[in-house]
Amino acid sequence: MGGHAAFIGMTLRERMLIRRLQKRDERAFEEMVRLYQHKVYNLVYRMLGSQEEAEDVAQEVFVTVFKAIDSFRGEAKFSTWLYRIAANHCKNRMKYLGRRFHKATGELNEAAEREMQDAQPSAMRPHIDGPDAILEGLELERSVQAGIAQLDEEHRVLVILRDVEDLSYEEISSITGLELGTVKSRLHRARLQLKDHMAKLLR
Amino acid sequence: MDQVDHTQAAELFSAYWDEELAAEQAGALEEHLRACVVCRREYQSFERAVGAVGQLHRMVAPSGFVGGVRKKIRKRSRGRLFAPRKLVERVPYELFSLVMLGLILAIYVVLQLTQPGALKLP
Ligand SMILES: [Zn+2]
Repeated sequence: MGGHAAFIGMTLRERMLIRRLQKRDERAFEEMVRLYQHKVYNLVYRMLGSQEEAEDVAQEVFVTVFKAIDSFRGEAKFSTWLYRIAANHCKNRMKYLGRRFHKATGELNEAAEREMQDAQPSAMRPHIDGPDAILEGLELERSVQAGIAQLDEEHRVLVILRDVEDLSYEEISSITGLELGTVKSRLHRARLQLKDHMAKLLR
Repeated sequence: MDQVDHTQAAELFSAYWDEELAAEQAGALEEHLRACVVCRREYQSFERAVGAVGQLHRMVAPSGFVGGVRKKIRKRSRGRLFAPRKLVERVPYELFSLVMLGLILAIYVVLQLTQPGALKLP
């Protein structure tokens, strides 16, 4: 016992994958990255709002996962642990970018928005609406991303974990290390702020 | 709670959206929203904003993502982070280089032998 903690809520496949990861098996590593790359990329992209930053940071997340896999004891779900690492990387990158763009947050948001305008359709999964609906959808999507970008880090992460990733309060509490009550009240504040930002953007 | 006022109503938006309110509380909020146009508009824009977040497209990692991560790990650990591959996986590669070496040697010897006067005895 002891060393092999609970491994609660994990499939046999996940458990075997983790054991192989802990043996530094390169193939297991690639399997793991393939399995989770889109999940992590989406989260990081929504946090940072830039494809370039997202790719770099998402890759860093997996480097950390691989380096720290020995410290994964199975007390939480693997995806929870992965999300925790991803959220921390985003927080650090936002701090770093904040220092670099200390003049105004607008500069970063503008750059992110420009990038979204240029590159979004190709990076999105195809959809089957008419051209007007696509335009309208893009417009709304841009406003949402811009609204999210106006939230500070501790509010942004909650909106993304809950409303983008659709995670439970309990899981979010485990990822962020916040009390359940704090998650709920802070998420509420975050959503109210987002509502106000978006009302301004969509006016 | 039998009735909610403006401030209380706004405080309940998130829990209502997440369907976390007790039926009684949800009923009281709904009643207020029916009666109060200010709060109703507020809730509509709340719904629109939070709903739109849930409708965002799932972004997909760019192609070459996995290779990029592998490269980063290799570079930073100078190859030490990954365990060496099992012998069975390595054999063909090493066998190949041995065969190549043998082939080069054979060609060299043949060239030496066919070159006139190259291996003449003293
Ligand atoms: Zn009211």
